[in-house]
Amino acid sequence: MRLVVGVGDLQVSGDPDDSIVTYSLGSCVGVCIYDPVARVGGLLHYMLPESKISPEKAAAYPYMFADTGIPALFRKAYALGAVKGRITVRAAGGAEILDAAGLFNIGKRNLLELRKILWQNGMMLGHSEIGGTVNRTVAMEISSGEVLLKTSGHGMSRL
Amino acid sequence: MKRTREILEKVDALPPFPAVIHKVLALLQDPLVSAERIVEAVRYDQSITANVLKVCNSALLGGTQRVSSLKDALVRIGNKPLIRVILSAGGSDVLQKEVPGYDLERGALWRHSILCALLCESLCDVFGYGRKDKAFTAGLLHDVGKVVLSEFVGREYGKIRDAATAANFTFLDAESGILGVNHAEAGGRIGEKWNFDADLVNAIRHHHDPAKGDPSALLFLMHFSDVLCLTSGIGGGADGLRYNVDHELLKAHGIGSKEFDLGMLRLADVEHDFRGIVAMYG
Repeated sequence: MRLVVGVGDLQVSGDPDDSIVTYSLGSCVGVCIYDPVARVGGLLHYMLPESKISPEKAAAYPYMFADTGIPALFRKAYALGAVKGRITVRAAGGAEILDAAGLFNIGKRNLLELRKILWQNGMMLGHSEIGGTVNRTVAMEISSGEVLLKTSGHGMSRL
Repeated sequence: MKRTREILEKVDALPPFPAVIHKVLALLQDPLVSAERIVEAVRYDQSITANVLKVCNSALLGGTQRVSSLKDALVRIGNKPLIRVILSAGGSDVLQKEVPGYDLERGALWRHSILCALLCESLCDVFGYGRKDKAFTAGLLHDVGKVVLSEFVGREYGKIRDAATAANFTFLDAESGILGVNHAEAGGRIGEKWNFDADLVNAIRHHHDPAKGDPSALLFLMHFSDVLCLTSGIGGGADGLRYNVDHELLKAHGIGSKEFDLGMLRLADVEHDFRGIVAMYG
């Protein structure tokens, strides 16, 4: 089955027939995690770095923010049998509008938060396509953990 | 330039904006106008009626009773939402198309346009703007120039992209440089051809460079709304996020980094609330 992850949403699966896709990441970040032994994968599409900007939104939509969404993504994958030491983490997105003043650098702050959370948990960010000014779509095959990336106006590649 | 002329000829060849929507916009000048009068104005238009019924009957809006007339629709979804559905239905024939030059599949431009429209409406309070319906219309139609430019951008996409990245230009400047006209200017000309009022044309024409337009709350909120939508990537295409944000202007309206993030949350809100309608069309 094809599981679609909306904005501020996540999906995990251990079914080899599943693929998980999220469309059109701008400054938002798509985090793909995969355990190749358990063959469990997950994809989170978050919009903003920190939930403290709106605790009430975070309570209703925890996957909207990096600091509430990323831990939830891992917890859900663990529940399906994934093991921390085996999980690889890849990411796409974090693009930015041209803003000379750098006031609205949501993409940069989103990526910084991801790195910070991974670092605090002793994990590394693997192969990623991040930053720039492009829109990206990512899809993960649960059977293989392969992640396909479509960059608007540039075609397909593998992450 | 030959190409510029070719593009402007395309603008002239566009079908007219549905007269019935003009009628609706005129009625909406009166903020207290009843939905009954609006229904009266559109009830003879097949495509609008069909679209309204389709949206109202979508499972995503809930309920079990089917809507079979515009009057039912009014009772079911209420005055304001119905006006939005009617305005969206009016623009759908033009905006629903695939826009391959910008790598936008069928429905993507429509999705961006609807979200931007809803966000414009939601941001009226930030800019002290009272005409929510007009803000909605500006958001809905701000990128209509892309429909005309698509074919030309598609042919020259490599050149435009390279010009933009090599000189660190915006996609808009690269369009102007390579094609002679950019999509915002083309949109402004379409608005004129469709007899939109000057303020609406101004908001469409300068949504990427508001400092060059006539200062107006509608233009400013249009710019902010589009910047937020582009940033999110929702319905975004090959031009990506290669556009400027006028941070001076936003700062003058009290919008800093935190307010920008809150704007993104408003976008998330309208995206959630109207996923049903967007999914129906998209």
